[in-house]
Amino acid sequence: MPDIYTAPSKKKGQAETYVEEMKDSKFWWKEMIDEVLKNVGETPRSVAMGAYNVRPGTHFVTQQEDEEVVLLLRAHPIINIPWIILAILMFIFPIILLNTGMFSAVPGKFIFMGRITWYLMIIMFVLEKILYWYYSVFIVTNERLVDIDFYNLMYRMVTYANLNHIEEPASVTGGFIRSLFQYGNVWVTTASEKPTIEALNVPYPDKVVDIISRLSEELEKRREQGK
Amino acid sequence: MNSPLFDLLNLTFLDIVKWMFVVGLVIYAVFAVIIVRQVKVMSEAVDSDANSLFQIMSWLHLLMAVLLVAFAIVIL
Repeated sequence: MPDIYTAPSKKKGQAETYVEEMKDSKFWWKEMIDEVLKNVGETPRSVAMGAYNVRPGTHFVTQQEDEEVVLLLRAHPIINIPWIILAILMFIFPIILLNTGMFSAVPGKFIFMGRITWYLMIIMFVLEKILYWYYSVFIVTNERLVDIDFYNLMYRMVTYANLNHIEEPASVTGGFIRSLFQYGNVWVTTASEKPTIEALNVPYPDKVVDIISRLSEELEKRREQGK
Repeated sequence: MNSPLFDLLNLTFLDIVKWMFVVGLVIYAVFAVIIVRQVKVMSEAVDSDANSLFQIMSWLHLLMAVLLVAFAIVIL
């Protein structure tokens, strides 16, 4: 039977070769992340005192085997200035108070214990604030977004959003200080129970949104390819 | 302060203040224990180089709180 149609032989383009290689690679997510970061112009680095970390190589509690942390974000360190100032004021407060002579009638040992207790409470306050800042993170992986918020010592909220279920990431940078120090908020609308997942006061919010969008697109391409 | 109860227990006002101080510091030490526990939980949530440093700081803080309770009982 004669051939009705014979498709011309087509040379595979670079994009097709890349997609096929990505599908078959055992570490497909690493190559995907490499490609996304290369397109965005990012390299593995840590800036802003650990507030903006690209491919830090860290792990988190529910991380899967084929998942890698692309971005680990914290609030910009500058937002800690108010409580640092408060801690300094708390530190000098006993000195001012004692110089007023209000406690002249109080035995010295009580004043001594009072001061030590006050300073220990300042240490607790500072430690608490550092812990909240350090461990309240926003993680972007090749598969999902993870928002870990510590509201106080006994209350923690962890929110997950799969990159396949996100829509319209947005960033907001407003105000003189935020523009000067290049930090802002990132909001990602999701199709899950919690409609919006947010990363507040993070450095380079535009880049964060860009990376999230590109990772989401790559995952979508991969899904369309049947993987 | 002229209550028969105080005479019976041989308590002064400063003794009451002392034991209120001690009770307050014991409660504070309980919070310090909670901080140690929460730092452990936080460290398990996110892997980081600073985890061990924060754990040491939380344990030192607990130690200081416990020592302060002892000081309050002895010094006051």
